[in-house]
Amino acid sequence: MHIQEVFNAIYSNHYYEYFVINKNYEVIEYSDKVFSYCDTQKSNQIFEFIPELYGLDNELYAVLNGEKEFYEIPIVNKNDKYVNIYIYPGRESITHLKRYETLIILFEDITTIATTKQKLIQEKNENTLLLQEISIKNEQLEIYNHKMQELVRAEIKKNLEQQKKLELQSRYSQMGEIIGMITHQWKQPLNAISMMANVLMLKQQNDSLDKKILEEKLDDILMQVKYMSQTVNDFQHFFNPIKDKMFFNVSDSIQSVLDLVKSEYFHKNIIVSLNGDKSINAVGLPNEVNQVILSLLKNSKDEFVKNPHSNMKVNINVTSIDDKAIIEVSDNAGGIPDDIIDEIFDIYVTTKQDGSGIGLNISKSMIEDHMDGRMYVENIENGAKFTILLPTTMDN
Amino acid sequence: MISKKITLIGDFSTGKTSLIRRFVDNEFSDKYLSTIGVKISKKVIDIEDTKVQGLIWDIEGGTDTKPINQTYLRGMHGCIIASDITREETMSNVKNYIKIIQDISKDVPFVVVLNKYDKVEEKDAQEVYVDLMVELNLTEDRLYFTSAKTGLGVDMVFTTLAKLLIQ
Repeated sequence: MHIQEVFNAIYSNHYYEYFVINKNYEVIEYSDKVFSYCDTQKSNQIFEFIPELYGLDNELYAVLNGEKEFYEIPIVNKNDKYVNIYIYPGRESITHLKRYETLIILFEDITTIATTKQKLIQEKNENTLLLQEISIKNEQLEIYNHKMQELVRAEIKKNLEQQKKLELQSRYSQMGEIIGMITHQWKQPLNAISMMANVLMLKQQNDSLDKKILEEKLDDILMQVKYMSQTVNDFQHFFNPIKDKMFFNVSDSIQSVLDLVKSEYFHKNIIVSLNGDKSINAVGLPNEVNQVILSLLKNSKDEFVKNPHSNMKVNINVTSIDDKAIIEVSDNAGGIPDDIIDEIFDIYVTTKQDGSGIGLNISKSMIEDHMDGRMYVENIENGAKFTILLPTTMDN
Repeated sequence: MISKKITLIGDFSTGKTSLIRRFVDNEFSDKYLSTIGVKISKKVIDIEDTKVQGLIWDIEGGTDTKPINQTYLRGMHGCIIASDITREETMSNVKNYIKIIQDISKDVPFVVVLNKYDKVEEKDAQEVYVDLMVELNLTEDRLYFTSAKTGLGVDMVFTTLAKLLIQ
């Protein structure tokens, strides 16, 4: 007496809906809720209800003829639900053994399982895509790195060439400076030689040239020529490139620069003094140190020419601390403007209107890159102080 | 009106669902949602005086570990093989999908699409196109650039296939 209720209870909780169709694929029976999986309710053709069956005539025929036990279309998305569609044989044919008059089409709702599965697949696919993307990016990165390395190599080569050019430019500039100084230093002995030659000529014309005077004057002339020759030797030594680092006496080296420039600075009323410990040796390239000192002296001189005063001084002090030789070059030429002092060693930065901005850049490069030293600047009272640190042992 | 079963196959995330959505509803979303199983969409395609109702099967994409379910391909009349022009492996796999189709039926017409054309430079895309055409021995009327995002080539691909189906 409760069979109907039991049936209703089972029916309301099951996950299957169905169509029953005949051999002409016409719907002859169906469950109430089956239409929730269909695109239409107004047809009697199963293909209109279930377009998924379209094209499957052979498969349907095989089930009707008993050639296949059933046919399945798994995981079909129907109106935001997921179903497995099964085609089973229905009522057996009375006339033909193992053949069927009807087909039962079952919809199994698998929405819960399919939704979980969809999430898992989604996650897996997204991970795979991410890995593929990382792999592609890595490949691109390798290519970029390779290109970057080539660019860096090319840029380094270009910079080295540029550095060499700048060094050469700086050297030529200093050569011009030195030649000017030599000219300046030669004027006095040349005048002296010229005067002594005139004296000798006059004495000879007056027949008053005796052997003693001749020998005296010739000695004087030879002394002047020797002095001139020494100046040229110093010049040659100054620009003779030494490529290997060596021990050298710092004060002696600086003195050789001062010997070249003293005459010009003296005539411009600039007092250049060298003080400190004369025994200190350093390791480096003495000619390059001399070029740096010459460059600093020239900068001071240029500032003094712009703003002369009655007490123009450049002081060079040589000291040492631990394993470093310290050369301090200070002047009272007004110092470096605060707004550019931090960039004063950068290329093409200059305080001079006609300056190239190369000298200090090259100087720092020579001290730091060629000799593992350090070079920096600070303003002091009324002037600037450049400090150069040089190693005193080869290990440095 | 004649109905034709058209399947879309290819690797996962090549844009099969997006191509169908662009073709059927003229819509596009950037959000990626993996298809599982299959979903059928319908659209009537006018080929001169003939109306072709396309029953378009959007089939779950294949992965390295899980190939496509060939049950879905039974009874198909035509096929679109989708690849992602930004992912080389999806293009390499096109030949496997062609083999699957031809194993089922030598006569089923198919076209191959290089989808996501909007994501690559034209010059690079052309190079890929030529390489793939040579590798797969395809003619120009079987290989198309598409972009579900911009709509480029989408209608043309479905229409071309529909024409092949009624020849």
